[in-house]
Amino acid sequence: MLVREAAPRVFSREIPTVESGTLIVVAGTLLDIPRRDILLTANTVEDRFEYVMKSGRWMAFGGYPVLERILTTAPASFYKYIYLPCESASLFLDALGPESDLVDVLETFNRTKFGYALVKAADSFGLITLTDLLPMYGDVLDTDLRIADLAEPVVSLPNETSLTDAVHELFKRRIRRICISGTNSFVSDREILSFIFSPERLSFSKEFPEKMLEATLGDVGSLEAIESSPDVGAKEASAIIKPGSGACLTIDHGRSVVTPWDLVMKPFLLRHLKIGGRS
Amino acid sequence: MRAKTKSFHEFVEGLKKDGYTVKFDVQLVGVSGVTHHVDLLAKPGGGERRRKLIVGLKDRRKNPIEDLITVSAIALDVNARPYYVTKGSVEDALVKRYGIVLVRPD
Repeated sequence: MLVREAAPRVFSREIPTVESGTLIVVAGTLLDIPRRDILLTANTVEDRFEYVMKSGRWMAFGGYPVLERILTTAPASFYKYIYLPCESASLFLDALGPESDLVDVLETFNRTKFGYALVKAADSFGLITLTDLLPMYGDVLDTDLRIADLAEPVVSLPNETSLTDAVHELFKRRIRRICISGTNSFVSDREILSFIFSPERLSFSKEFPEKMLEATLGDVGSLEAIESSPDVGAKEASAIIKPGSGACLTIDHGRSVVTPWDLVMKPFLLRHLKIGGRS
Repeated sequence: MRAKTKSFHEFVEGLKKDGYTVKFDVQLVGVSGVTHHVDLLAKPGGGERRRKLIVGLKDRRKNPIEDLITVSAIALDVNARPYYVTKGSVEDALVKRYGIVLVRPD
């Protein structure tokens, strides 16, 4: 099923953007107002369409590349780093052609391990995200899998784990969320970013740049996971997670977690995802 | 929404009366080492312990929130108090969180 048929609003809605050269500290703060995972960067507002059409890709600024870059930055330079242009903490999003279908989108998500892709149309382009696909369950998408089939063991760390260790763990395991041991609360890369770019932490980091990550998981805000039954179908579970909320589900008394990625990508990779009535 | 009490003209005249030296379109180097452009810089008279002020004027290309966050980030880097001139309204919570004072244009 073509993207333009399955998700026509992708092409008409505004794409969150910042200008090239915007400071990381500004772009990082803007990710929270309102909460979103990425901002695309453009030289000027006017040239977006031409740029995407010509280059076939677009730079995206987001939490994951920011944290990845922090891990390779000397602690004494942390504060200087956040005053660099946001392009230095961005990655490229590929643009799919106008005849792309949902399988192309899912394959792109799987190849890049990132739930975002640009899709060109005749005279415009859109940004399709993993959270656009969740509400398609029941209408365009279908699966017979239950969330017990899709869950992953929870990665837990104690409340007092240092932020540096927690960020290393996120990258080592290629995950976005860490559970705080003994709770049903999760800290994701987004919460860590919100913490780093909070006005209080920024003032602290200016005084003590090398201590920017000298905090604990407990100092960072967390999100409560939604406890669910393992027998709930992926389709039903997709309706529980509010798009863009950053929420996830847990089962087995918090021992396993199901994320929006699991709900969409795993049925696809396990060949249990029906798209527009087809497997 | 936060009320803006002074117009830009009143604000600038008030600064001068208070002993600030006011300069427009100034480049300032921050603690980060980055050179920032500020629309207005107000420095207290020599020997005074008051902090300098920077003022951002609305950039028509950007949305006010992005402008406001930019002024706040620059102010932090150059050790100044941030002010922002806009005729639009900005959410109270945001203004408070980033410690910005709004000024209305003339």
